[in-house]
Amino acid sequence: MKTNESDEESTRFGDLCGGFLDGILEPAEQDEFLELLREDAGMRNELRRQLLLSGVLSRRSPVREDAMFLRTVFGHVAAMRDESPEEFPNKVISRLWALRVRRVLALAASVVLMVGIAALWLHFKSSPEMNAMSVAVFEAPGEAGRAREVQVGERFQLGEGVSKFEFTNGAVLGVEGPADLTIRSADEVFLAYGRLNAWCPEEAHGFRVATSSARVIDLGTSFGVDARTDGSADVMVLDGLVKLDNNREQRSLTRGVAMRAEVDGELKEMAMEAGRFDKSWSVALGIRATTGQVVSVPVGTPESLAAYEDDNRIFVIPERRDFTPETPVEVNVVDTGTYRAFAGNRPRATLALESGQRIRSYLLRYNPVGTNREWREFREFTGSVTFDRPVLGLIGATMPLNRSDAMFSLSQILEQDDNYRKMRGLEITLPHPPDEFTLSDDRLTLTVRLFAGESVDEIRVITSDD
Amino acid sequence: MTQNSADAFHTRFSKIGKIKRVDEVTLEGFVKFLDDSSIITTETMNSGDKEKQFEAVVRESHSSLRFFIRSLGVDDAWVDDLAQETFLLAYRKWEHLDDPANAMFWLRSIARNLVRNEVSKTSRRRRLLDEKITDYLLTLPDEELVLEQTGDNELRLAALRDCIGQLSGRIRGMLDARYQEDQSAAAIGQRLSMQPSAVRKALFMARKKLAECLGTHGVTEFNHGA
Repeated sequence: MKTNESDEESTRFGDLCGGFLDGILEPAEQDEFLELLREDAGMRNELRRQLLLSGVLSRRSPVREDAMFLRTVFGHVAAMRDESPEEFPNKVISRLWALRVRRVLALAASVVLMVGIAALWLHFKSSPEMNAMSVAVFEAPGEAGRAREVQVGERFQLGEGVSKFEFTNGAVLGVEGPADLTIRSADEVFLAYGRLNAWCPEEAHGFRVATSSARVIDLGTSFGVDARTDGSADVMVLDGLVKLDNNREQRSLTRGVAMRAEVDGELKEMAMEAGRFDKSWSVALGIRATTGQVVSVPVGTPESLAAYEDDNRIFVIPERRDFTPETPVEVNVVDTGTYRAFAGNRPRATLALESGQRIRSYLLRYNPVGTNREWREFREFTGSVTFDRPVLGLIGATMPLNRSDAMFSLSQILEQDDNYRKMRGLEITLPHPPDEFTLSDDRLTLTVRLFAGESVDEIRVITSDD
Repeated sequence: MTQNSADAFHTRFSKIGKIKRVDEVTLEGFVKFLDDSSIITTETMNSGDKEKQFEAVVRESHSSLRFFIRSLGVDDAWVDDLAQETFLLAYRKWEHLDDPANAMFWLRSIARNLVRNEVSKTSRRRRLLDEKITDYLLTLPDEELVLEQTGDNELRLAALRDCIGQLSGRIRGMLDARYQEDQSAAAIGQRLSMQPSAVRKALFMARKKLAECLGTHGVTEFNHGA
């Protein structure tokens, strides 16, 4: 009987110990586990061995190798050694002041925003027609966006800069000025001149952009239109499929095809010049502004963007958009604040999404050109990106990045490089101060300070897409 | 340099980031790397040079300190962070250390304080497996938490490889998923059509077997009966 009791106790200890090592003990289990530990030195010893063994096994991972650890410690000490005694406390004090100021500003901004939203809601509530064709206009990157009341027939004569139009059906236009744009209906605009990039989700297929020489009808996802003051217009399909109609003929254009509609009714094939839409594209993608060495990626297909290499810049690469995840989304960071990229490899949170909430993602990626270089050569990169939707979560560690590719990445090539899949992310600290990133209090801006060498540094950013 | 160490060098460096042509890395670099890792000497410890003393202490004690922090119930993913913080604090307060020979005891006391702070603060980043259990573990003396490492590190690693090799392929796969790929018990269970609790139990038994096996290989810190 005694042996049976002991066996049962031992089995129970195994269950509790396993739960403890996974950090999932319930309060009652914690008490039970504690009681066993307090009463039995053998169990304390078994717990010690279990902790040690799991530590040993964990350290077989390349990111926790001894050499990596030593380089990190010596790197930090070297950085600290060069600081004056006042530097560290001064940094802390200035950061606290900045935090206080930001909090005050954020509070003021949220009051203004709530008043604006309330006014807009009251207006839409009393005007069903307007609700059917509401357009949110974000004028000029870097400024706070605001929803504007739009009438059928309203004309926008835009100066320099890029504005964003969001239609109720989900269609999004990035319009680069100078431009002359008129809203004809909830699913059609007229572009007299200027450049625009249109992105249309499934619900908005059939959305039309008319020019003086032809009408472009969306049947897929993304296209650019460059309309000139002489009436001619160039149409380029960045992704999916569009129909081009000039009342004399209709053409279906697929991804990578470009065509010019002349005022005399002729349709001419032309070379693709996607770079013309770089500015409007990034705004249509939801990137409101970038600073420093963080830049929006040029127009391209998912495959070409994933292969992009650059020694001097961190690109913001758009990924999957406008979808509701079917499985929980694991992230490393959900709260605002400043984070140092140390080891935190395991996901520590699951995104709390409302039912049916739509999300999208971006990959901030430093991917240097070329092959080997001196492994001690590291450079500092700083900059920020401001999105037009709040950031819900960040993924910056290797394994969570790998696991989340299936849900967010549009490119297959990321999955083909074993070294890349082992060493991407930010948790590998080398002989330099730790990588740092800050999610602003309003959740719109991500500021990064990365130290990169020859490896790929990445952060996946998940934003709302409602 | 032997061929084996050259291979190890290639393996190590190929893991550091995006290296497309491993053969381009020079062996001289590795020699430098080995030189950097020179072992602690009595001469160094008695030199009075803070930088040298500190470096020697870090090299000598980091492994043991990391295991000590782990034994207080710190999440695997955060053990190295807390160890780094311990060393940085030690560096700042180096003049408080009366004798470098006592460094390990001193470092453990700093680490204990850092872990104690983790128990008391409400942090957005949870670094402990379970605050309540860590609170208890902090009351235990050092010698009940971790045994001193003895013997050659390479031999320990060889013993570990041998012991892992004695496990079944399925269990090895579970260990890899848990510790190399950082997958949760739920994710492993989903892949293997097992309940998460069954995965946790299997991992517990695997660790137990490994500890016993390591003990028979003379790896003293895993011997039973602290």
